[in-house]
Amino acid sequence: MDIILALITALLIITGAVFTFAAAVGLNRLPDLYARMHAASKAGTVGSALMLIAVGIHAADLAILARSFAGFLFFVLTAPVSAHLLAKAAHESGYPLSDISVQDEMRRRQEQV
Amino acid sequence: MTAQAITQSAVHFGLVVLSVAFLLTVWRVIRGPTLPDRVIALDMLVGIVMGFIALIAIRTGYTLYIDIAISLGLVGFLATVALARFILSRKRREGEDGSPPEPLPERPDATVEQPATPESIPVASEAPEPVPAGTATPVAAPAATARPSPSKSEVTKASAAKVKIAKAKARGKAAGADQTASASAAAAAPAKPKPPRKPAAKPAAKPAAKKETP
Repeated sequence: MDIILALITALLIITGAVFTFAAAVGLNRLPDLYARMHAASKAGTVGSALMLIAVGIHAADLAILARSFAGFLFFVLTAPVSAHLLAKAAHESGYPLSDISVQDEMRRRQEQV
Repeated sequence: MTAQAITQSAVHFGLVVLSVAFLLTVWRVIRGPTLPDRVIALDMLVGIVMGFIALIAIRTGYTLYIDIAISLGLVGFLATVALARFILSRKRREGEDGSPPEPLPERPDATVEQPATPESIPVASEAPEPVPAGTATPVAAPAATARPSPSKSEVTKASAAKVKIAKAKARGKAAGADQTASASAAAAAPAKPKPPRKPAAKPAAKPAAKKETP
């Protein structure tokens, strides 16, 4: 039983670390702000959320598991909100998309208004 | 291999990978050509540090660290939202990321013209000063007020429509300015010399109303 819990914990930790690393690589490699945001706010969030769950499972205590799930839910709920706000603010204040972007629907909407 | 060893080796692996990710993200914070890049990298740093805290919690067995991670996530969220509002209010600086400036997809009535108003107010208050006789005001006032608006829209972001709007604004302002100018010039003749630093709109409008009643 201990072994199984440890294996699950190890799997969650390793998966989370790899996700976070992928997010960091994406943050450095992607061409513009909006693509970087796409890497950071999705892969980065999943990475740390998986590690939080790993703590809860490793402790094998319902109270701690509930707390770690609360942290997981909070983080997963707030990360898209902040990323969306930041992207909207950046787009509205005129930070351009990279040259290889194929479509900017926000610009068309702003021109219509 | 015991359960303890499995967990500890996974934690070590995670710590190493997270350190590399942390350094990569710090590199983006340092380099990131624009302000939103840095903000998004800082947001990501908060997530990585939450992962660090979780790994330390597993390693040491102090599950109280989870609460620290939750509160850190709260602070990071609030900081990102506040910085997003700041970016929204700041507007983009030209050449901030080293790229050539280009026309922006802004609405023509956006805040670009807003700075023109506080600049044209002192101009309107200056207008009556060189004209004690009150004859040359209709010529002088439009010239004086129309000058700052193209220089204010400056840079390349002024599209033709925007310039037209700015000119229309300046013309309307000039009309108002020369009306207030003649009024205040007439008011300044009998009364004490008008204080030049006062905001033009209110004090100029008041003497005008006073002058018309008699």
